[in-house]
Amino acid sequence: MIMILRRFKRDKAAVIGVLIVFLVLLLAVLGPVLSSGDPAEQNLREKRLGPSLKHPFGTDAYGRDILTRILYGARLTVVAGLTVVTASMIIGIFLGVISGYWGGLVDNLIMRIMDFTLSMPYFFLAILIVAILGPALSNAIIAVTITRIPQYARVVRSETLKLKRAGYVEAAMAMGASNTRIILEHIIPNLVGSIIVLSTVGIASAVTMVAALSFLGMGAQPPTAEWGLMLSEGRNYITSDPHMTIIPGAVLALFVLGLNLMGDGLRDTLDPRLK
Amino acid sequence: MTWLKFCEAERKVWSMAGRKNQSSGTLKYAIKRILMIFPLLFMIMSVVFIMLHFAPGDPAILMLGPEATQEKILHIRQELGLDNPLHIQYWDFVKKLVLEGDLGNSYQSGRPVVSEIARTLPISAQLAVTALTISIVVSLLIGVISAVRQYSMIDLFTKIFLMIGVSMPVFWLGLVFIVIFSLKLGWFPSSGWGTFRHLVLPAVTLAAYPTAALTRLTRSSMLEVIRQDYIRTARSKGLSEGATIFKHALKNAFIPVITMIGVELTILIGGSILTETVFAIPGLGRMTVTAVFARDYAVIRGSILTVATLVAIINLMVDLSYTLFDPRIRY
Repeated sequence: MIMILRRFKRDKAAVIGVLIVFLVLLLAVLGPVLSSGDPAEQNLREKRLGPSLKHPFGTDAYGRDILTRILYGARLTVVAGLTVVTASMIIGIFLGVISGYWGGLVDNLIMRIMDFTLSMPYFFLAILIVAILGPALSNAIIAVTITRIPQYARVVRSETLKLKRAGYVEAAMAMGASNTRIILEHIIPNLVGSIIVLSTVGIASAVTMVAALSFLGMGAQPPTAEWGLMLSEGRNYITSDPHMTIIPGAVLALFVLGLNLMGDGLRDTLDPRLK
Repeated sequence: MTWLKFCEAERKVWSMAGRKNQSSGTLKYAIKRILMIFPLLFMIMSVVFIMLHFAPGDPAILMLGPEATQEKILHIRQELGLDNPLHIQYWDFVKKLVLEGDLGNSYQSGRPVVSEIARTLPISAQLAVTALTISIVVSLLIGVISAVRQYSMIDLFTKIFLMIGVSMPVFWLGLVFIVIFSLKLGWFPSSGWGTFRHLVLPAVTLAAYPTAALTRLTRSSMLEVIRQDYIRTARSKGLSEGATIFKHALKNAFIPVITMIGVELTILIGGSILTETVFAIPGLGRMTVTAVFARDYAVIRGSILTVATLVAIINLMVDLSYTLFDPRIRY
C-alpha cells in the first residue's frame, strides 16, 4: 500500500489531478458555507453582469450569481458522477460474476444483452432511454448508468473466468466452500484493482455525459443549478455575454481533467503493465 | 467408424483445404460476419420497438395535436393499427420494413421516416468523415513525432494537449470555438450548413476527442514497436530513418490503431448529436434530439436502427481490415 502511494506521488500529473478533484469535492461540500447567496435567488436589476468583485463570475439572465450556482452545481455533478459509477459498478459486477462463474445459458443471455447495449454509441443509447423515461436529472442518471454497465460486466466476466481456474479457487471448491463464499471471499477481492481503474476513468465520462444530457434539455430542468444546464441557458446570450457559457463549461472541463489525470495515475500505479 | 471419428476426419480435411487456400477462409469469415449482422439488427429492432411501445404518449394524439376531435383520433388509430395487440403491430412493422423498406411516417411532419433519414444522414456522414479524416491525419503525425522524440519538448506538449483534448466536453469546446472564431474573429459562421466554411468549426470540434485518443494510442503503439529487434536491424543495415519509421515501424504500429478508429467512429456518431445541436446543423443527431422532445417515436426508431446498422458495418469493416494490414491474421 505504501509502495503504491509512493509510486503514485512520484507521478506529478496524477497529484495535480487529485488536487483538482479534492478542490471540487471541497467546494461541493462547503458550497453553502462559502457563498452567502441562494442559487435560485433572482435579481433582475443585476442581470447579465460581467465578472466583478461582488459577483466574481458575473450573473446570468435572471441576475443569479454564477459563482453560487457553480458551487451548488458541483454537488449535483459529484452526486451524479458517484451515483452512476456506484450503481453501474454494483450491477456490472453482479452480472459479470454470475456470467463468468456459472457460464452456460445465463452467461449467453447476459452477454447478448450487453452486446445489445454496446451495439449503439453510448450517447444514442442514453438518449433512447431518456426518450422513454422522460427528461429529468434522475432519468439522465439512470440512462448513463445503463450505458456504463456493460464495461464492468465484460471486464469482471473475463477476470472471473481467469480466477475460476486459479489454484486457490479450485482448492476452495474442493474443500466444499459454497459458491457465495468463493465469490465473495476469493473472486471479488481480486477484482478490486481493475474495478478502481475502470471507476475513476468512468466518473469522468459519466459526469460529462450527464452534463451533456442536461445541456440538451434531457437532464436537469430549470431552475436547477447544474453545469450542463447553465451552459445551455447561457447559450442564448452567447453573442453579448459569453461568460455565462464559458465559465460553467470551464469548471466542468477542469473537473473532468482532474478525474482523468487521477485515473491515469491510478492505472499506471495499480497496473503498470498497461503503461 | 464411429460418428465422432468421422467428424474428426471431416474436420481435418477441411482444415487442410483451409491451409491450401487461405483467402477463401477470410471470405468465408466475411460472409459469416455479414450474415450475423441481421440477427443482431433484428434483435435491436425488436427491443427498440417493444421499449417504445411502452413509452408514454398516444401516437395518434401526438400526430394530430391536443385539439383533435375524438373521431379523428379513432380514425388515425385505426389507420395505424394502434388498437391491434402488440404482436400484430410488431408483425406489421417488420413486414413493412422488410418488404417495402418503410419505417412509417413521422408524427410531426407526416413525411416518411425513410426520406427524413435520407435527408439528414448524408449531412451527418459528411461531418463525421471530415472529423475522422482530420483526427487520423493529425494523430498519426503527432503520435509518430512524439514517439520518435520521446521525452522532448514536443512530446511533453503532446502529452498536455492529449490530456486536455480528452477532458474537454465537446459541447463546451464547440461554444468556445463559436465565441473565438465566429463572434470575435468572424472567420467562420457560427451555425448552419452548406458551404465549406460551415464545415470547419463543427468538424474540428468533433475531431478533438478522437484525435487525442488516437494520438495517445499511436504514440504508445509506436514506442513499443520502435524497441523491437527488426527496427534495430533496419537501422543497422543503413536504411534511412524516414524509411525505418514509416515503412517498418508505422505499418506494425498501425494495427491497434485500426481497432481504435472503429471505436472512435462510433463515439464520433454519438458526439455528432451534441455538435449538430451546438452548430444548428440539420443532421441525423439533431433530428433525433428534436424527435425525443416531440415524442416522435417513429423517427426515434428509424434513427436508432440507422445508427445500429452503421455501427455493425463499421465493426465488420474494422475486423476485416486487419487482414489487409497484417497478413499473418487469417480467419
